[in-house]
Amino acid sequence: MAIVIFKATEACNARCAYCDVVHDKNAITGKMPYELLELFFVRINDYLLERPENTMEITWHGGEPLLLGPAYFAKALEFQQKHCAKTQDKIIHHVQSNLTLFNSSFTPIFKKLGLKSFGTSYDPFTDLRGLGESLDANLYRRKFIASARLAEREGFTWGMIYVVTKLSLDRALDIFRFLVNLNPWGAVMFNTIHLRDDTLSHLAITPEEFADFLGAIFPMWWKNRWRLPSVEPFRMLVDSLVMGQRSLICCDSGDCHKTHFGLAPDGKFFQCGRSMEWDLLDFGSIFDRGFTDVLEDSRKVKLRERTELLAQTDCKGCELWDDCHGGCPLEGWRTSGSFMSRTRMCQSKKDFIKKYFEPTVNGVASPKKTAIDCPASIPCAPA
Amino acid sequence: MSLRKLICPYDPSLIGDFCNREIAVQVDSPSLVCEAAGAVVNSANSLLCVILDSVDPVCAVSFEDQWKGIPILLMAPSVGEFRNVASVLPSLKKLNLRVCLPASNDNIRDVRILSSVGVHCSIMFEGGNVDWDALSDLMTYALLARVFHATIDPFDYISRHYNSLTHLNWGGAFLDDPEKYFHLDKEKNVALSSSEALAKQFIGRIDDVEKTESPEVQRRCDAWSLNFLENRVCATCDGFKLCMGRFLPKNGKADGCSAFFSEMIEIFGDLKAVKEKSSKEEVWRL
Repeated sequence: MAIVIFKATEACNARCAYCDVVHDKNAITGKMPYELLELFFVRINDYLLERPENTMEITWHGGEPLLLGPAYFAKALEFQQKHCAKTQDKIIHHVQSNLTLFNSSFTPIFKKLGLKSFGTSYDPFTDLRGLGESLDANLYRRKFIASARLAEREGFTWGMIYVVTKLSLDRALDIFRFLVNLNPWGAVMFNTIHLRDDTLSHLAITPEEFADFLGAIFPMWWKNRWRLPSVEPFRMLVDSLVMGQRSLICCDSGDCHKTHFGLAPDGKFFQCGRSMEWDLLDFGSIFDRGFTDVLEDSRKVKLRERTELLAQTDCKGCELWDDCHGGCPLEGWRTSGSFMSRTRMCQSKKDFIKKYFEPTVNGVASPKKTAIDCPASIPCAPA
Repeated sequence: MSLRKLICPYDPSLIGDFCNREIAVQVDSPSLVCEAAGAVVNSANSLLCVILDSVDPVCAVSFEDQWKGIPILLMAPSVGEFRNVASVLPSLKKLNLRVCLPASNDNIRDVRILSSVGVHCSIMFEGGNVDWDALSDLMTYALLARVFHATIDPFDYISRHYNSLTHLNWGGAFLDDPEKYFHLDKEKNVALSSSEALAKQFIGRIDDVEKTESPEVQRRCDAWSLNFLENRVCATCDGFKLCMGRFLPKNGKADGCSAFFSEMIEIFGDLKAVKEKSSKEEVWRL
């Protein structure tokens, strides 16, 4: 499986306070030219022909991908049909959108692309997410809820990412209840805020605070998981630590070097979406290289070596190694200035498991092979 | 747009103007029940039920043998004297009938008794001064009591339609759900609930309303989302999936309804667990 975080534009109609893209003066606010878009599908076809056992997941990201308009997505489908005749059944599209621009004109093309659900984000209680230069949070909420309802009526589901900041910490349960009441059929993913620098340090949280935030919610989710949607990171930890069925997101997999790519509007390859936003791990242009070539880039190789190195150094003997692998390399870079170190957020996972997960799960059911009865996850696109 | 079921006053010419519709026809006299049912059945439509709006208590309604087989919703203000009900019970139980009462404390008690003797009932609670504790007792009886009793709506309706992954608008138990039902007057004006029909709050004539999906219908169907837009207390309530914010009291405190709907959700969890356990532990049989 390969996943490309595909930013055909970095323009956005929102100005969320913690977004690295919209506050980046170098962000590319135009659309990726059709010439490049076409080449993108040529490269995908090459990759899938070279690796017939693989699939390619395209996560339309941004900026706000709906700013591209339905015609742009139609052009993408045209190029896909033209260049991927033998491989298009292995191409899976996701859209990560704030949904506020969704309208019925997108429905036909999204259905043709095989899209069934959206990954989105929402924040009910703070004004950190807002539309336009004025960061209008109320307008954002109004448009989001109306568009989400429309998307449901048009036959789409949606899952959401909630970014936990300092402002979230004292309302963990309220936030959780709000999100699952608003969208009882969709998945929720709690992510800690990731800051590239210290300009928003008042929003930053410590690993311990993130663990406590999750810990305030987990007992309720665990007790009522039969009637609540899939919530990450809970579901993933239950699968792994209780069910013995490991399926890890990019940050924890230890093999994101094998699976992830980022593609910027100007055709530059990056390691992933976050590396694009942080301007790290630039692998050169799609004009010059294909996916397979990028996979063999020495810096991708270095990321593979990171996993091997951490297993022998920073993370040696850690009982959570198989569930973490040192975490996101970019977070490692943020912690120490080197990709070869573990993320500081691993402490939050350890704290959460010891303080909240194990006592709760062991109090209700014996670990391993417990019948977990949760609704299936609706995929949220990776951030 | 899905074709709504219609709730109409009994008027043969009105019914005759529709075809291929499912119709609940309203009458205000027991003597009109058979005639109204026949008018729908003999039209190009199908009969959902006859709604008998009675100003008299159940004990004073003269139940007729000819009603047998006709689905009837008897809307009455109360049960009345039980000794009088007892005398008509044998014939009442032979009917395809549901008794619907408003949720006063006396009615909550009487619905339980009627249910226990095999009469299917509904208890209507729509905000205002609901005794949530009394209602909670009735709900527990309706959902969990293992002794024989007839169904009690909306609890039976909710338990049949409950899905942990969706909101449930159970107004349908009282034919009040704009996604499924339109209430008409004799001039074919559409109201979105029985109380709005009574208050003559119409959104337009049915031909116009059905030509394109009316924005008003859409607005009403999405009204629950205002709880999230305005960050009302209901948005963070454990019972929201079942109540969808319809009982928010004016003082903004939702203690009674919150506990009531949360308890109901808990009961569904218990019932699910019992069902799974019993299916696993079933002994072999010949």
